[in-house]
Amino acid sequence: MQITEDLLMAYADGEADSETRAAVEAAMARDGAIRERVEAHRRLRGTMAGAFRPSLSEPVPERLLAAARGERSQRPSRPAEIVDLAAVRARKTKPKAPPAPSRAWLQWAALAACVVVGVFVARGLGQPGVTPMIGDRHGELMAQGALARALDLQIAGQEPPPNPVVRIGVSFHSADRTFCRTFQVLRGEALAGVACRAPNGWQVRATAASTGESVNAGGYRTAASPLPPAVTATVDAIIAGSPLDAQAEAAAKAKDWRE
Amino acid sequence: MDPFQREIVDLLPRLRRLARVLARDYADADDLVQLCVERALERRNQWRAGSSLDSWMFRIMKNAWIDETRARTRTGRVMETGLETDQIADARAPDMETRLAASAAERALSELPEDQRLAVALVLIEGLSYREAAEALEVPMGTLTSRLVRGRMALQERLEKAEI
Repeated sequence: MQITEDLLMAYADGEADSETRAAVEAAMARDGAIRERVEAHRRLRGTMAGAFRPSLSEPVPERLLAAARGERSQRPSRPAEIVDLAAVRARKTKPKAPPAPSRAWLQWAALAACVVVGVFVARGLGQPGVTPMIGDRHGELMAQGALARALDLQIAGQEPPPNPVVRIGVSFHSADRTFCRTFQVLRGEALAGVACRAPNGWQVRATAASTGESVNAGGYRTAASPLPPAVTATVDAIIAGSPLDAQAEAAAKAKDWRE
Repeated sequence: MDPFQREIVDLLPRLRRLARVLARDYADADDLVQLCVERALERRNQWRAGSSLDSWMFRIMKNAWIDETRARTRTGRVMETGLETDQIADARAPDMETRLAASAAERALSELPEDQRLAVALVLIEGLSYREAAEALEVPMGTLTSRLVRGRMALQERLEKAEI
């Protein structure tokens, strides 16, 4: 029997029949190179299984548990609302008298280390062109996917990955005692906005299409773009005090952005 | 929840793991899992009780992914997978060395062609037998083993290179 790579692999995987097993074992007995090939197949199996085992202990998102229960309320194919949240916000909340908009935070935005996250723009299955980074959850607009992860995880002072998808700008306390963060989506639909930590995730308080450079497929911006006026106006309206510095961001992240 | 749904819940972590190998993107992967679960529930009468639920659902996922990639091609959306990938494997590894090894393994896998990636994932990561993997992929055994050999050789080469 000719000892091919297929046979060695099947032997290493415990898939060889008895005739093949005998042939491979005879070949291994006389040839150290063949022993090494079998060993390499076994090692690779151990490496791959081991590398992917930790992901099994991650918590499963509620929407997948709901899907398994047969609840179909949050189908991924439903287009997310991403248009003109400023208008939604204007309907929902009576505009406050704006506190003296010193715009000091804008300097922070310029100074803040670029905080980015190198993941894909989340594209919905079967929904052309829509980026479901923001979804409507019971009437509230919530960050999801790559945006939610960036808001959760990214803090100032971290080494940016080469191809950022979301850039976090400034983090600050709002007047209603929640943490809020500005963000820019750099791929797909170019968006900028501000989201505040709510008990059930990041509530998007305002967003608008990013003006400035257009973002083409595969392209991304490296320089900070100015936030759209609708977003800066919202930040002005809700910010209390100064933006967080890197240390305060790290402390806030450690507390999962809860006060 | 009925027993069938409970079994699916138990499978969710593995479904997510396979979906991430397929989609190479966390968010897409969870959308894929959701689609797969919904289709499995719609077709539960096609599942033969006593046969293995995991390979049946892996097949549904594979077909859902094919539908999705076709839809993307049709609508002219660029498949960006391969330019960069989410890192799956390293999130909870105990030490830096293990993390680096896991991340190298994952990167090497993500660079394989899709058919080899799937064969490797089903057999080496999900632990399916060759027969179960061939059934999940709806290909003859010979096709499965040849994809598996090619995928493994490429992985070994890449990982050895990564070690140097």
